[in-house]
Amino acid sequence: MASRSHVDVNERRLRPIYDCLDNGNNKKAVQEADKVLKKQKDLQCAKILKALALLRLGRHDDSSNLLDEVHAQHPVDEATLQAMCICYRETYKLEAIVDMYENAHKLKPDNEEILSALFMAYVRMGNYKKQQQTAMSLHRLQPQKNPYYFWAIMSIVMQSHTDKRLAATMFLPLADRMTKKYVEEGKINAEAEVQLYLIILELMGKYEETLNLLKGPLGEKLTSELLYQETCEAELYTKLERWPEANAAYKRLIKEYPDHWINWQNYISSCIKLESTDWTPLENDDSYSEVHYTSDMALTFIQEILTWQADNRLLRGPYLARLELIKVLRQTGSNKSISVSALPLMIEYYELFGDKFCCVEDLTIFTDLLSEEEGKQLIDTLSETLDMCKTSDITFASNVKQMQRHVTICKLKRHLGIFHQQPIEQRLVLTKEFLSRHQHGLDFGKDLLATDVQFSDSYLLLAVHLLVDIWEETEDTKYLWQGIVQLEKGMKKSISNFQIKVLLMRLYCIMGVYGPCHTLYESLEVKHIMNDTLGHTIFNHIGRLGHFMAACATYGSMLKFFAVNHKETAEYLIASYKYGSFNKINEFVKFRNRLQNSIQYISAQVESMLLDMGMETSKHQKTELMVSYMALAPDKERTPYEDLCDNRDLSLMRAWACPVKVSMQIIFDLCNIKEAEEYSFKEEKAWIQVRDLSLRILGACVILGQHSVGNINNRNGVDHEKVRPMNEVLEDLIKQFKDHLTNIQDFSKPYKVNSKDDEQEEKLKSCVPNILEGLLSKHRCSLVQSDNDKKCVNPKVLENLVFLTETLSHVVILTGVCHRILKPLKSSFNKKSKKKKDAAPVAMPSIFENYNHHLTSLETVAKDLHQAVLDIDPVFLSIDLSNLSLTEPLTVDEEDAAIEKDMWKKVEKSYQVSAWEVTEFLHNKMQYLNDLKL
Amino acid sequence: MTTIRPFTCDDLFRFNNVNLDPLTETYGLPFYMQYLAHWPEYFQVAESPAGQIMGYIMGKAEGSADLWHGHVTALSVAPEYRRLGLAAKLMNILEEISEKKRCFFVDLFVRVSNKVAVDMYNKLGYTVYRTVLEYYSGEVDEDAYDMRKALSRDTEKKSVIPLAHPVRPEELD
Repeated sequence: MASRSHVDVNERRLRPIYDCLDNGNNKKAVQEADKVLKKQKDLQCAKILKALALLRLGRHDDSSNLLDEVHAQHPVDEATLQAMCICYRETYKLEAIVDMYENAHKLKPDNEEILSALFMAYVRMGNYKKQQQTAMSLHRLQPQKNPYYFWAIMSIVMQSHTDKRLAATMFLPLADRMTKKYVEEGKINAEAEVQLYLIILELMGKYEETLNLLKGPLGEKLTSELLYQETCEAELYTKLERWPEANAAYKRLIKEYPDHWINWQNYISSCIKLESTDWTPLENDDSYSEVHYTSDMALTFIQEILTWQADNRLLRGPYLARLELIKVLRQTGSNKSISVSALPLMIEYYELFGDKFCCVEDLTIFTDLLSEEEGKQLIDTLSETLDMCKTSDITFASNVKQMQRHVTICKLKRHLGIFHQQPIEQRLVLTKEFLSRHQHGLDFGKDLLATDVQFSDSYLLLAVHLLVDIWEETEDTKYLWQGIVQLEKGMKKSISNFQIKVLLMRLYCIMGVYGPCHTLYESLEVKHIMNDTLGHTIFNHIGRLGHFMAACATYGSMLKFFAVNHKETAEYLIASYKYGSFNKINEFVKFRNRLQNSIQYISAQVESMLLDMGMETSKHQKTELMVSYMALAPDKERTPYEDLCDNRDLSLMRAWACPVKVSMQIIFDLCNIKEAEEYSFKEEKAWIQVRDLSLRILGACVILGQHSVGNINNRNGVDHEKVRPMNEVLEDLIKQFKDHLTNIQDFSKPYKVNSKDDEQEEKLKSCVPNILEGLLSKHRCSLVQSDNDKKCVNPKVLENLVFLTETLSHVVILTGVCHRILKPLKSSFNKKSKKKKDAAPVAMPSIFENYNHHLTSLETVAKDLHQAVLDIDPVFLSIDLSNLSLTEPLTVDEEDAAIEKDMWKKVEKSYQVSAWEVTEFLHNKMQYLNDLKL
Repeated sequence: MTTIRPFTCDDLFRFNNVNLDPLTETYGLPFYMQYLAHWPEYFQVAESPAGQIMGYIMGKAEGSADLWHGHVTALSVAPEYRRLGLAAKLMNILEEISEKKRCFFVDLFVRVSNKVAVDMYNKLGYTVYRTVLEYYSGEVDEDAYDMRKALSRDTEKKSVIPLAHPVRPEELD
């Protein structure tokens, strides 16, 4: 009793501290903790709560001192341990949690709570072996509690994922045996346990056994998911290639849910499989009476389902199933023909669903089935059903449904490449038609809420995509400017349409205008995981277009997402063990890896460091500090390039483009998105490697400069392992860099990373400032170019000057390294020559003079570059872009004119910001150079 | 034609066309993972034959005694896949799962201003049980309807008898 009341007293005393912490009043929590500690100076829990409050106040050192003190005492009291666990989680010291519970467990080996917390600590670390051992200890402690036993089994399963060789010979058989033991002893009592057994059998490829399990008494425990057993069975028959059973199983599922697409697909493919092997049921064998084994039977079944559902809401599934049947027959090269063909089916589908938005997407899966002639026929037939298409004048839709039907036809036309075949003049007429249809259609949406998308927006998007096509063919930017004007106009009426915004951002970036994109991006409310999937929409442009401040902020929020996510998500692995969601455990592990290895993550890291190296340095000392602050480890690869994951969502933008036409264009579409995605990812990987190696080479040089003057202690935060000499690292990196540049020749067209004209090769041999100067004179030009009286904006200038500026910045840093090495040499030379007064004067080695020459030339280049950048600032040059007739309006419309004027203002502002930020950046570099005189 | 299947982590990389809708909230990862870990069967996604995510439903089962119920946390369908009856279908699944779990009712919160949604829930048999004042915070706070539908276990439909007075968010259980 006495000890119990003692605990109560402590609890009562600690309560105010907990309350303060809960309310976020950390300052008061420290005071309350001090009060308690005055009375009981050794109360561990009070110390830890104080440490937690200090931590949250940002006093990390004070906090960790207290933590270390208590940690060393090996606490066992639950409240203390829990509070310590929170501290360590917030500082992401997961090893410390393990150590702490290991210590506690040694002192109290029979304490179930401590042991279970230790298990969770290993889960956070992903230490599956230790998890397994700890779960077994828990099982021995509480043999009647099933979950512990299954935690151990799951831990074994996780080990099988990390070691594929041992998986088959050791881990999976062990997991299998352990589970089977419980099955045989009749000890399985939860659905989760059966689930785990299914996972194991699946991994071992024991599909027959899985089937038996599903059909047996244990299968009845699987109740959470609807139709789970039935679906699993059907999948297993497919895996076992037992097509008759698979077919019957999918048929039953379709009867249950006639709109479930994947069931239709599997049903049809099993049917065709049977047909291609001429399978027939044995005579007098009723067990296969349900099986459909010919395409005709499949067709009959589909028709049957169609008549069934006639009274209810029309389902798309069965209608498309017939097209799928034709498609699969075609794909398998079957010579069987069925009594239906694609064209009339597609026409019928349009008749039924043409007013639905998704009609186009559904039909485009099957347009491959049509010949070019049939494609035209499809459009002709569909057009005949609409009065609007019949006259040569523009007849507007009389209601939303009719309009949507028309939109569907237009999108199909684009997808079938019909627009692409038309001459440009005709497409411009069409563009104008779409724009007026868009305007007209807005009347239907007058009463829509701001959160709704306008019914006629598709016309606008189609019109702008046409303009983009024309721009790609003619390279005349006036079409893009008009596209921007029209999108800006449309956005005012349909503020929630993200398609408009994404396309608008894309077009602005093509024209080198980042400014408006930032607002657009923010209005999309991109947050959390969208940083990873949608960040690319601005990420690749923000820096190259010289909006450095905005780049800093964007990289920052991206990095924050990635840094936080890994900490936060570990807890849900734990939750999965607690709730027995074993299916989710490996899924979570893979998910966390996918985020951790995201190319967006490494890009944000590298780009933000490169940016800091350039922006935050106006002196070489600062650069050295920066390199040590970044804990740059030039000899370490961040994430192996081949492990990088592409998490960009490139399917977001809809362009309904023609699959033949879209090859390497900027706007990807669903049709061949896989190919385009793969190419783009390779490109991104090649690029990030260039950037990463540049960063590491710069870092290596800076560190080398420090080492050369005996400052060897600075190991840049990496002092645990033996450090390779930095010059070796550097040589290695340069070799990698050179090799890489050779390897990515294929990409040199889109990015021009390694333009190999002879003129430049020659220059590479001469000195660096000359190269820079050459590049500058090559790329220097004015923002607005005149070509046969036609003026246009040249968006390339900006990007080229930004890259030159960055290159100059790198050269300045390297010059700083030279200075670092030469300066002490020069002073010791001076001393020596002074000492030897009497002797003949020693000639200074030419290096010093050469260095100074290099420096002066570099200063000249910097000045020239500075001027070149100033020359693209429209405000500095007092140019009014809107008066230069850089584009021709598509319509004679006051509103359009006003929006265009507005657009030019935004464009000017954006170029101005770019120019201003780049000149600021250059000021910094000029100051840097000033400091590097010998 | 739609494939409805359990939501997985990988779907988080592809749900932008649903979540960029202004009325759909994008939460931090822990939120989704909590649901995936605890109530995986209540988190279902609909996928189009071209592989696009059409919409999803996220829910849970909670409460004790006769308050044991299914809850719809999020239901969203991308603009281009609306008017196909998809939301109703997803709701139906959640209700069926709740029936199997022997829940008494299903409930959900909806913005009072979201007339389209309120009408749809009405059509699906949901009625306003109570109003929750200033439940949604934003530039202007907005009230929520707490809507309910009784399941077969609640034979007398006691769970859906409307409250006479609105409640404040802190009074919710």
